[in-house]
Amino acid sequence: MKKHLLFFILFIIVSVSVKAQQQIAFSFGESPQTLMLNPGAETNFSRHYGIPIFSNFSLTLGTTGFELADLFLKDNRDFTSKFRDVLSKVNQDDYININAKIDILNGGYRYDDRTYISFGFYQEVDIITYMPKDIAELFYYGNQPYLNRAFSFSQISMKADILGVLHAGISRKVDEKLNIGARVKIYSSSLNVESTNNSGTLTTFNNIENILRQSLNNLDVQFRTSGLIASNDEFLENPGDLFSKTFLGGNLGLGLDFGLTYHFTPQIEFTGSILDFGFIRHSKNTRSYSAKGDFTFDGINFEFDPDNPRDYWQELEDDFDDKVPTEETQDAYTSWRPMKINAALKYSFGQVRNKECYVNTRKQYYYNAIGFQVHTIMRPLRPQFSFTSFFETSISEKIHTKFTHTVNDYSAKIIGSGISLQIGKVHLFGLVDNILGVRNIATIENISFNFGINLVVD
Amino acid sequence: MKFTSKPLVLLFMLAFLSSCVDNLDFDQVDLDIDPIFTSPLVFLELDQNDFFDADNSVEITTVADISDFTTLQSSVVQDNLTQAVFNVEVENRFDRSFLIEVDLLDDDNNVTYSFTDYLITANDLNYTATNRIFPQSTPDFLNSTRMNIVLTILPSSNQLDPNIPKTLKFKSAGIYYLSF
Repeated sequence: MKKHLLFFILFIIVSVSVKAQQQIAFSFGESPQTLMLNPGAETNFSRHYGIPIFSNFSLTLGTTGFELADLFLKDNRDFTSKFRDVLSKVNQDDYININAKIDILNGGYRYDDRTYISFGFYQEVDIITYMPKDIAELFYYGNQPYLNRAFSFSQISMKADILGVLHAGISRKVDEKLNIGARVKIYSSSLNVESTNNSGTLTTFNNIENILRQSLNNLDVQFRTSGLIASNDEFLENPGDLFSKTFLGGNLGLGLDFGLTYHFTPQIEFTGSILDFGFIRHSKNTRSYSAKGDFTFDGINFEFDPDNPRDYWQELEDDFDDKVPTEETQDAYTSWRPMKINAALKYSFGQVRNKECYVNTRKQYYYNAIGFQVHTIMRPLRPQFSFTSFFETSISEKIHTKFTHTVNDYSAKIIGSGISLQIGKVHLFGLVDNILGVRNIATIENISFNFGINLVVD
Repeated sequence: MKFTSKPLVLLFMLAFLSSCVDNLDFDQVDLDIDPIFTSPLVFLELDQNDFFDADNSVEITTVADISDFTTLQSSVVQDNLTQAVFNVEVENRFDRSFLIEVDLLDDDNNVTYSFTDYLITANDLNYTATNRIFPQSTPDFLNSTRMNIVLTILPSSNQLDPNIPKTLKFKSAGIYYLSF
């Protein structure tokens, strides 16, 4: 019971999201996976085949406000004390963010000199939950220590998704300067749980009428789920079922990616993309819960009128139900995907090399580049923003490296690095964001990995 | 320069696995959860007319009222309540003393818990009382589903005058100590 309650509190407290896990891969190297971050990325190969499961894997874990070590460090401190310290230091803007994405299938081929088509299917787990500090403290400490405090329900803001994405994209060279692209995505959501845009407060305070008054003001709370409760009211029992439904077996949605690459000069390049501009329509196995209203409770007012005996308790329940109606529905609803915006400006310099491309053309490359990029992801409370400056250098024609410094919600000192290399037809890439934290995950607030293996035919 | 993929993969795996977590202990989760909740309970306000019959001719010495009170039947309370506190405040503007009896009853109207009778002396405007109940030592307490209050105006040479406004205010609140 205790552990269940703990996890319930943690679940409420915490929030998850797909942060900017892949942004350092944006506009990097000549990986076919770059197309997943910018459908308008330039391509210089005629075909590519992703190694199933391994073509692109990324994982991001992030928390703000506390670190794993705050709770789980082996320091012989009492766990309850550590939990209370964490609860004390976080605030409602802090969040927990978990995102994992794995490519099941990925491939592409050149349609003509100007056009490259790519397609595939990936699965994604995406969770963000902000810290509803007020509600967590209300559950953990109760209201007695906090008379006159307005516990806010607006701090409940979370979203969790498990979905599969079937996609096809096109990258087209418009002219020597401009390359544009787009990707269509069909989402298949097997699980969605979300609670956003809540409002209301609960306050207990001393009063004249009775010793205390409890006041529920402007309550408007909603939880929406799909895939969690079946139509026969049974909870999901086998998590494996979630992943089996991600290939067009869940609630379907539609999304679009857009992107471009533009060369101001041979050395100055701008890349930008908008990803996951789309929605999912949840109509299967949906269950939504809501409560709305205002209620003031002073206690039960005994009137001592034997001629008119009253059922005070029933009146109280009826009054509450009337003023704060709750609703459970199986109505369909629409959930928007967390849209991401990427943009990068890169200045290339140094030794020039010529690369023979897929046809009898040659393209000039510089061995070094510096630049910056921004990444924004739309989240329930507010967009998450990160700024990255980077340096790229090529060790050889086939080996490229990238070093980054990122400032985001988690930290201002996130150092990342990546490598992209091609051995024959095998292209590998790997990136780690927050390299300083890799040695000790316990004390960092954010880390992300991204790696993949693809076969590329020039 | 010749590269093979194995070292790279090993490097990342090494970084990932060694990054770790050897200084963390996820088995240490043993969280004490001991919230304390409070809420208003019964309140009342009586004047001298409540102690006379309809003709205002005969003094009524005892009035009573009852209400369901099912808070204690919640499974969370049943399983985790370690202590309950009943706080009372009374403001008596009568020139008469009162005896206030508060009992908790079960569904069959059997008394499951009797609070100490509250003796409110005449003109006591700041009477307070606190009762602590420990369910472990009074298990019938958790069977309570109703609350009964009986007010008795005690005999005195001061007679009630229905034309002179007098009030008795009774307020109460409960505090529930839970432990998970």
